Amino acid sequence: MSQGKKLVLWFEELGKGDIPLVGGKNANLGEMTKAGIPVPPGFAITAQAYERFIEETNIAQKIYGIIQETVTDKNDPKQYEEASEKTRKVIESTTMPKYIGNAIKEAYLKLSKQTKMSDVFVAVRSSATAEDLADASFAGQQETYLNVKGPDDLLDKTVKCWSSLFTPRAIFYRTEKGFKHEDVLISVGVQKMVNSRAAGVSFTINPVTGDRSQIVIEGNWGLGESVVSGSVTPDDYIVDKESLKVIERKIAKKTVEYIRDPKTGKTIHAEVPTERQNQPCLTDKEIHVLAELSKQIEQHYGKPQDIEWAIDRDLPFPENVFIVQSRPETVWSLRAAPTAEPETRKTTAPTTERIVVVQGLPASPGIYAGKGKVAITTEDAARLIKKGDILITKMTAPDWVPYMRVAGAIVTDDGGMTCHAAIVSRELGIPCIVGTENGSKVLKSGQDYTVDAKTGVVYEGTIEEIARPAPVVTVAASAAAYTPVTGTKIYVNLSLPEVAEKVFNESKPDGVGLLRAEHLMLAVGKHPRLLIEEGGEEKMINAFADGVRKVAEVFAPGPVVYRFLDFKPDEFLSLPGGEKYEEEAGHVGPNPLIGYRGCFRYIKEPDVFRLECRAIRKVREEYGQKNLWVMLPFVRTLAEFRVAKKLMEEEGLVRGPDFKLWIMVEVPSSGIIIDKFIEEGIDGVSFGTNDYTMLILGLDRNDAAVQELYDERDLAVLRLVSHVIRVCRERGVTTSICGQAPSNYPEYLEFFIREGATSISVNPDVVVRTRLMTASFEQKLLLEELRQARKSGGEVKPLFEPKWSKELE
Amino acid sequence: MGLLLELHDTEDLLEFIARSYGKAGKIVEIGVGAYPWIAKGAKERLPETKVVVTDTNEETLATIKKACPEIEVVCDDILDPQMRVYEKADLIYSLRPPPEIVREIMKLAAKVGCDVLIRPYPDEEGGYSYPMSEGWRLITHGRAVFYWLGKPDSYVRQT
Repeated sequence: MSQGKKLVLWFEELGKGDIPLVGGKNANLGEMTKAGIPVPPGFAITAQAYERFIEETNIAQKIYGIIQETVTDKNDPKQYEEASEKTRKVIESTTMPKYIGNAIKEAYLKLSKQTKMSDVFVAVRSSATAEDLADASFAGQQETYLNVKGPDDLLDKTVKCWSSLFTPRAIFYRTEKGFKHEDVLISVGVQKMVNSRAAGVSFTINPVTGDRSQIVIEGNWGLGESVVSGSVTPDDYIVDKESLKVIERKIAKKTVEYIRDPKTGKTIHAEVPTERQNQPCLTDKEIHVLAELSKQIEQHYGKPQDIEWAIDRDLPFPENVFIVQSRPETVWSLRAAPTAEPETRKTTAPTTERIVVVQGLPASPGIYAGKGKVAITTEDAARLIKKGDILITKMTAPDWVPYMRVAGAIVTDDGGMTCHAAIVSRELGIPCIVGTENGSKVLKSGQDYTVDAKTGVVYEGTIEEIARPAPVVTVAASAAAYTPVTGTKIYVNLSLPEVAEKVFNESKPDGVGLLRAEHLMLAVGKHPRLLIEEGGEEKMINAFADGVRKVAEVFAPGPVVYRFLDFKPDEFLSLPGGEKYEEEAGHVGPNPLIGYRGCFRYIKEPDVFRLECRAIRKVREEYGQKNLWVMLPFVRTLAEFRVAKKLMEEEGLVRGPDFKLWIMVEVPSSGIIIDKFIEEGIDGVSFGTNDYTMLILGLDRNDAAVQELYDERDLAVLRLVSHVIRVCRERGVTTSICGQAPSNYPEYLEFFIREGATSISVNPDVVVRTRLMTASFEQKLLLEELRQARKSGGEVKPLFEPKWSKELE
Repeated sequence: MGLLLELHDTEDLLEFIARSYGKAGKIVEIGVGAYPWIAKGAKERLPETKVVVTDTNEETLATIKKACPEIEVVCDDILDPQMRVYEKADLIYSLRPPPEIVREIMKLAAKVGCDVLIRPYPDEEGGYSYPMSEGWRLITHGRAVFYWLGKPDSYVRQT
């Protein structure tokens, strides 16, 4: 029998010349197998088998007749559905000629034997013979069945794949692209299932920007269908094609995975255990191998590729990395550059007020204003969607395309930039925002919205200036009125990464002068020693790195100063494990505020400190956030500082042009010998005025009985602050304050500015006020200097005439 | 994530609440996190009082609801509070709140017109700006150290 007559062909027998016989997908799998790409083994049931099936059972004419009769109006989605239902029924109720069934069964048994399994789990995929060509691809064109097991099940799914040639979308698509239904045949691919730990897709071109120097990998736990179908928001890695270095990574909260039920062998949707939800689904080594393979595949085909991959849970690295599928990427290979011009339709009176309703990931660029329609099912869509509406849904699937075609814009709850909605809307050239999480709940049918798919925001109503942008008006002029430029930097104190963006947008601080770690630790919910005991080091590193990265990203390029954990031992007691590792370990003394805390802990328990260092290094090196610096709290002696610094260096945190090491000055000793600390090597100091005041005045700030003595403005405190700032200025070390004093007392702020502090770090609610006051004090100072200069005949002398200047001397 | 363990100062804090708010109709804890022990203890001591805890994390709220069915849990964001949750409260309190939300708690308490108690994380800087001039007091009650802003008579009853 010649190749063209065979009913079944093995992947290794196939090449790209076999598309008419086995379809694009199978031909590709053959092509890749030959090129040495790790593809799971399998075979194709050829188009010949399908053709003989419909010819020999005399159903071919019947099918084409049904379509011709039923589809009379090309723009009526309901007609496609009706035609589909009828034709598929005919195919699925027809018995397959015996010799075809036998050929398939025989190949399946051979595959089982080859993979050393009794009945191997296979994925059964349709592969249309006119599909998957560079000019005619559509994601998920026909059916895929996973976890198919046993010859009978395989035959059943084969027929279902054949009938999937007549889904509403497929019929619509062929009509739209001008293919004759008779010209399109279908082949079926049968491939060993990878028992996947994680799976997803890889693009050898950035599908959103069209950047060819990048590889985009998206993945989730479990089977890859969750990513391909777009029903979850996957992890997202962008890799530089040249160096194969990860340049961007977004680790999504992955709550759902598709897995094979060990009992029934069926694919089920399972909840991801909490501890895995925020974990990356790929290791760095796996990302590297995937990127390398993606590059190799692209080179082999000579054009950008859209690749499906899976990581086997049973095999060791690197044999566990499999390529399941590859096809030409279709959007950018047809288009040179984005052409999404805003298409607007005036609905109600345009408004200038911008009310953000939902936000998501911009998946297909463009801006559109129109009426929203929430459609959860295709039935809803059939009923509701009119031309130009904004289609709002949880996630689209192949049978949604007729409705997507008429929509003006698309908004979905789930999905990443390679999900179905994203790919199709890019192909259709309509704006699309995916991953809004709750868009289908929050947005209402019949309301007008403006979809800005450049930034990923849906606004209420029709916003004229967005939908029809006016000539660029500079905002700088009005913004400047609120944010005067100050010589002294205004930083913010933060402890919740979640509010970083809000804080930044509202008050535009120059950076974060104090990023607290304590709330990150509380969120991890366990004593770090217990975590280490349980082998949960990675969990802590990832949780910290993730939180810190969020802040660093928002404020970049402004600096973010992370303060290492400064848990007081008694506060640790609420964390499981606290009793054993604090109380029983004898760490909870009579006065925790001057007890086992700060820098001293790091040298006594370096393993915990090292985890923090690794998290910081991860954010700096892997996530590329070089604006992240660190600060050591409660430093008492030079000796402990030396050890802590050495530990940091061992973990790769070495001072340099873009990595600054600060210490907190809150124990008088560090202020008194600040010159020695500078000699040891520091880049900056930050005052903690509360502890500083407590320790200089010798009063417990937690004791209400001595509360009335407590005052940061006490001369003793001021003298020591002044001394430190002056020494630091002389030696080129920056000075900052992260305490409340400048917020509580304006004269304290003035004092700091006059003394020459580099920055002031305050709580979010007083950033704007502090900036205004700082600007006014700075101007006052300049004015005074000028007057002084005039008086002294042009010679400018340094001037210190604040409230306390005489006493300070 | 499981629940956190009780801190040393919990009993002392509870004693203060029970003594000062014996007649309270409703008290609300903001941002309960995984630490229901104050709310649980308050309900035990003040069975007539409605004790409500809020948070934005539905997961930990569910855990708390299961462990302490006697207290009411409400998912609410202090940055965008639903007033009906706090209306008619006699006391709003929060334990170790992130400094970012302290201002919001103060504003909310002023709106409701109730007392407010904040047991801070003893950060070097307290992290908070308690305007003592506006009537805030630092209270050391046994091992508990907290800031309190209330109607004078509530505190007088203490001593």
